[in-house]
Amino acid sequence: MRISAILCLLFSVLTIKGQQCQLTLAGTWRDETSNDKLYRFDENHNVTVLAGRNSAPIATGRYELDESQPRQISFTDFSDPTVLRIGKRPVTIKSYDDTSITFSIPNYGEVRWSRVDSNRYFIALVARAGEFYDSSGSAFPILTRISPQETVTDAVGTYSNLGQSAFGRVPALAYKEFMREARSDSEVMLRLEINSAQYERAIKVLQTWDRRVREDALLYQYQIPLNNIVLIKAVTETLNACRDDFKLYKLNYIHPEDWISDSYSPQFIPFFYFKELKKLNGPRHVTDEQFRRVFNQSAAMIDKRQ
Amino acid sequence: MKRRELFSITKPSFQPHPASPGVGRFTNALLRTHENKEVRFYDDLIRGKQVVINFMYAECNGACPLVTQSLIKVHRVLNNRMGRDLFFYSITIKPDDDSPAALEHYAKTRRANLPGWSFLTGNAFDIETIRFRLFGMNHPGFDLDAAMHAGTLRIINDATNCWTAVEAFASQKAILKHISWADPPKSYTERLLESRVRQTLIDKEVKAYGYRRDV
Repeated sequence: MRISAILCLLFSVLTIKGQQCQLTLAGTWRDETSNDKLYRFDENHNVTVLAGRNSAPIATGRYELDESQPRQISFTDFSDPTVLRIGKRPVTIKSYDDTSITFSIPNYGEVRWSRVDSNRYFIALVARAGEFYDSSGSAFPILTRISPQETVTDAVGTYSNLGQSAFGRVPALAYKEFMREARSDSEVMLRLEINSAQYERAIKVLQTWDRRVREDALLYQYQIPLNNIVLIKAVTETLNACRDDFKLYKLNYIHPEDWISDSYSPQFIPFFYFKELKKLNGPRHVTDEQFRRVFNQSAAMIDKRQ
Repeated sequence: MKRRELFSITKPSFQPHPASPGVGRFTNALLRTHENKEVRFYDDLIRGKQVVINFMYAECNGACPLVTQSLIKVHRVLNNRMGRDLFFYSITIKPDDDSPAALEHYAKTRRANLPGWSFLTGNAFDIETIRFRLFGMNHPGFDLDAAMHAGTLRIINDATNCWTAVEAFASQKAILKHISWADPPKSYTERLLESRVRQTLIDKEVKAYGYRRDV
């Protein structure tokens, strides 16, 4: 009785917070309530104000956030303080998510900024069954960033290396054959367009797992498929860290809510998890045709530049 | 026993067991103690030693102080071994928040800054690896919840390659018994002496109560 009471206390008090929405200020933001004024922040705490997309800087300065989940932002050393609509004093951040920030300014009201980004970001969740000796198969997320300059693709997970299951950074040859619609019921591919903050969080997960493989620091040394479950769970859940953007299946190992982990052995869980996500987010799936169009648009921009 | 052996203070050699998983499982992550000393997890803390490991964090006001109090009591009993052949390590599960100074403050306020007991922090990547490697249950449902391991003490003797674990809220007697299971092997004479002492206690109990109470 005493032990169970203490255990209840333990679980209630020692709850470690999961994914938290962190404000990533680096990038360009537009003041929605003013004209075309843009604020460009870099990671070294520098801020540049532009009158418009292609204009020269009209002011430069420095910024400081009070913590990683900030409540205040302060601007200092501004070359022309009058261009700052939000003033020189520290300003309260009322709310923020991946794409917008709302400031609350005394005697003025609210000012909303939205992120400006010329890049496009995609995540594709791909898996296959019946590929390896135990009927399981490849399963990994593919992250793609398409910018006017280049296209960057990253994939980490379980893939086929000459018919053998391998875990780690997926070689281009292996992921390229999955960058198309599923052709049968033994394949699944869900491609979603995401924003830059979602991309940054997801790429961080992939980089961490790539490091784990390189440094022999896998969380599960002998049950390799469990690593892939933790990876895909982290990548997909990180998409919703700031708001419920996608419909997620709860891969939490709690029966009957999570019927997948209850019904299948670890190597099959990613396949059915992606199938379930495809069912839940089907309307937001970016088809090959739509993806090709985005790709061609950026290629055209590169051609124009050349 | 020879006179020379009796009066010489020999430093334990801390030799790992040939079957010890070593760096491959423990990792040799660079950690910092509450005294702000840099240590390698396997080479400096585990190699050839008997250790008791638990997870906590400095701002925790629920379970962690209770576990710490429980360990203080155990420390009191095993005082003569602490820092010689037995070590306690409390590792933070919030390394980004817990600096060595924060851990030192925790140890001081809980009166746990005792010999042979280190509070450890490091980078999140390494600590997560250590947590999974030492406390993992091959079940992401349990393992991803850091709180699940806060109530467990992992007891390892790298010299004998003995691993065991005990509920941190178990009785002091149970914790001591689990630690003793990982003790280095004793000589025949030592075991004989211990058995005689135990038998005397059993006889005393049987005489007093009619049956053996302490099992």
